[in-house]
Amino acid sequence: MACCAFAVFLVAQIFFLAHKVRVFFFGATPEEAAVASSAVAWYPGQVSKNAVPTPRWYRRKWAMAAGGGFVLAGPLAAYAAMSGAPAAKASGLPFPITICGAQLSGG
Amino acid sequence: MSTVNTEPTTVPGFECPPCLGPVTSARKRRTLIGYLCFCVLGCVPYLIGASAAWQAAGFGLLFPGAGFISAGGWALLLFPLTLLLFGVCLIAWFGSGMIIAPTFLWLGTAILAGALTGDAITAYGPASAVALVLISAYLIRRRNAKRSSADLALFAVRQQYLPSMIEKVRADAAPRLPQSERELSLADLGGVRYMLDRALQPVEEFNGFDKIDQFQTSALRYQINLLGYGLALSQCNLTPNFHGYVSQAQRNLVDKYLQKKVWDYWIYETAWGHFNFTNFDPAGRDNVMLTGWLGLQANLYMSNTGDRRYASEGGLPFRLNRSTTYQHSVHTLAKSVHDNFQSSPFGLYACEPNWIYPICNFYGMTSLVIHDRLHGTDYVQPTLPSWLRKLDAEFTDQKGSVIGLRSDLTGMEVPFPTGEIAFATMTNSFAADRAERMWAIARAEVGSLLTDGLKKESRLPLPGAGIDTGNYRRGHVGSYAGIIQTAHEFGDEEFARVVQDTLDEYGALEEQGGVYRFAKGSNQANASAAYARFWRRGDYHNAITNGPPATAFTGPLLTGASYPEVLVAAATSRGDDLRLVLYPGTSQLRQELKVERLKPGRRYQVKGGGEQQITAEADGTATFTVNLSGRTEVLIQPEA
Repeated sequence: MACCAFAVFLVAQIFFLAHKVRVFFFGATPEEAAVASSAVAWYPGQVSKNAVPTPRWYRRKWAMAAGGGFVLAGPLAAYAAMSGAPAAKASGLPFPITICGAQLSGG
Repeated sequence: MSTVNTEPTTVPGFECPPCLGPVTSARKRRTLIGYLCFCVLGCVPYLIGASAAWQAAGFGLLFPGAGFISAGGWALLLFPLTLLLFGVCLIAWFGSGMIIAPTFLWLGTAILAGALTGDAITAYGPASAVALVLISAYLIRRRNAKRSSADLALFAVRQQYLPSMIEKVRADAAPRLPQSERELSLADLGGVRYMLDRALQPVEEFNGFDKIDQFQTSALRYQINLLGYGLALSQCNLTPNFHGYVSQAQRNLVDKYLQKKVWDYWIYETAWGHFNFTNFDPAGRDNVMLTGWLGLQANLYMSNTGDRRYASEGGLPFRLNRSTTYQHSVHTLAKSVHDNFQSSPFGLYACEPNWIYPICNFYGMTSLVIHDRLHGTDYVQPTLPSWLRKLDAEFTDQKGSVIGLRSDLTGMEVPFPTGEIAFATMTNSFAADRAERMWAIARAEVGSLLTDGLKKESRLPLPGAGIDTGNYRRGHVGSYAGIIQTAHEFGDEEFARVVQDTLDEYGALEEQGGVYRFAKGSNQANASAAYARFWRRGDYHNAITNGPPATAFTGPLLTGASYPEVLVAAATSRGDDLRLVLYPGTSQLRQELKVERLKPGRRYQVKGGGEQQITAEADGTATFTVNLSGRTEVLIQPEA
C-alpha cells in the first residue's frame, strides 16, 4: 500500500509538472488567461471571474503533494522494520517485495 | 580571467570583493560532509557484497534515481522521471519550505530501486552512479567558477564608476517638494482608485485579486501589503489631513490579511518545514514575510492616523478556529522580528522554513524602524550594526549585490530575481549611505539600457521577457514600477519620467471610469505601479522615519467624503486651516463633506466649491456641501 501511495504521489507530481511545462511553453489557455486578466480588469459592482473557485485539483495540489510526501514515511518505516520481515530478510531486500499486491522478481 | 581593481576606492563598503561568510561556509561544509557520508554509506553494500537489492538502494543514495540504473530493465525509465520530479521537489522546497519533498523523493526512489532489482545489479550501475556524482560536482564547480569570475569583473567595474556615479545621483536629485505644493494628478488618482476599489470592498471579498497560490510571491498577502503601502504613502505624503475612506481602506486591508485563507499557508509550511503539528502561530519562529510586511503595513496606518488599534493587546487576532486565536499586535510582530534576528546565526532569518530571503528581512528591519519611532522601543539601534555586518558577510555576492535567497540549512544560494532596485528604497529608511550606493549602481546599470539618454522620446527597454511575480507570467510591469519608485525616492525625476512613459506604453495602460490599470500586469504589479506614479523624492523615507506633519494630528481633518464621488488630491493644514484639492469621481457634482477638529463654536470661511460660512459644532465638526467642477480647490479658514 505504501508503494501505491508513492505512485499516487509521483502521478500527482507529474500532473503538476506537466501543467507548469504546458503553461511555460504554450501559455495559458484562454480560460486561464481570462481568469488572470479579469482580476486586474475588475471594477466595483462586477463579480470577478477570478472569484470563481479554481479547479479542485489545482487548489489541492500542494496538499496532495504534502500528503504523498507524508505517506512516503510508510516505505521508510518498512525500511526501518526490514529486519523484522522474514521474507525481506530471506531475499535480502530492504523491505517486503509485495508491491501493490504484485510479486516482483526481486523476491 | 579578469583582475580585481586594487586601487583604493572612496566608496565605503566597496573596498574589496565580499568573501563567503563564516556561517554560510560552515553550513556548506556541513552539507558537503553529510553528502559524502551518504555516498560512502551508499557504496558500502556494493563493497561488502550485500544483496543486489541493497546495492541498488545504496547507489540510489549517491544521486536521485541512480538506483534505477543499477536495477536495469524497465526501471531505467524511472531515472529521468526521478530527475524531473526531483526538480519539482526542489521547487516545492524553496517555494514553500517543504523540505520533506526532496528528502522523501530521494530516499523513496532509493528504496524503490532496491525493491525493483532482480538477482543482480547491472554492470554499468555502479560506474554510472559514481559518474553522475563526479559530473555533477564538475558542472557545479564550473558554473560557480564562471559566476565568480563574472561577479569579480563586475565588482571591479563598479569600483571604478561608483565614486563618480554617487556624485552624479546626488547632483541629479531634485529637492523634496514641500507638502503644500503637492497634489495628486488625475492620473495619480486613477492609480489610487485602483487600490481603493479593491480595498473598500467587503473584507471577506477578494474581487480584483489574483488567486494562484498562497505560498510564493503571487500570494494574496503580498497584494494586500502593497495596496496598504500605496494608500499609506499617498495619505502620509499628499493627503495627511484626510482620513475618511482612505483610512477605512487601510483598515479593511489589515482585516483582509487576518482572514484565515490569507495566512493559513503557515499551517502547512511549519508542518512540513519545521515538523511542527501543534503550534501554528504565524508570528513565532521564522515567517518574516508575515511579521515584517504586516508589521510595516499596520504601523504605517497608525503613523498616519494616530489610531493605535493595532498596538492594543490582541489588536491583530489570527483566528485559527473556534477554540484557537493567536492574539497579536504590532508589538508582538516586532518582538518576533527582533527575537528572530537575534537568534539567527545568519543575522537574517527565514521566511519559509529553511529559506532566508533578504528582501523580507529588509521589510522586517523597516518595520522595526517605524515601530521604534511610533512606540518608543529600541530594537534597531542595538541590532542594526551586527545585522548589516552579517548582511555583508553572508548575503552579499562577489559583485557586491545582496543575493535573493539562501538556504539556512545547507548554506546554498538559489537564483531569485532581485537587485539593487529592490533593496535601495527600504534601505533608505535605515542606512541612507548604503541606499545611495545601491541606487547609484542601479542607475548606472539599468540606466545604460536607455535608448536615447533622457530625451522626451527616450524609452527604457528591459531585456528578456521578464517575470511578473504577481502571477508568474512573463512581463516587466512590476519591474518598471520598482524602478520608478526607486528613481523617485532618490529624486531622479527625469529618469523616473522616462521609465513611466515606457511603462505606460509597454504595460498597455487602460483608463476606465477614471481608474488606471495596466492590462499586462498582475494585481500585485498594478498596485506597485499605482503608487509609483505619485511617489516623489524621499516619500518612503519620510513615511517611515518622520510620518505626516504635526498638523495632521492637530489641524482640521476631512473625515466625511463619499467614494468614488469625491476624489481627494490634497488635504493639508497649516495649523488652523484646511486646504483641499478635490475632483469629482462621478457625474454627481454636489457633494457633502464632513470636517472634524475645528475649534468648537468658531466660524470658518469656505473658499472654493461655493463660497460659504460654516460654524463648528460643539464637538468640532461641521458638515457642508460643495460643488465640484474639475479640479476644485477648497480652503477652510477661521474667520478673523
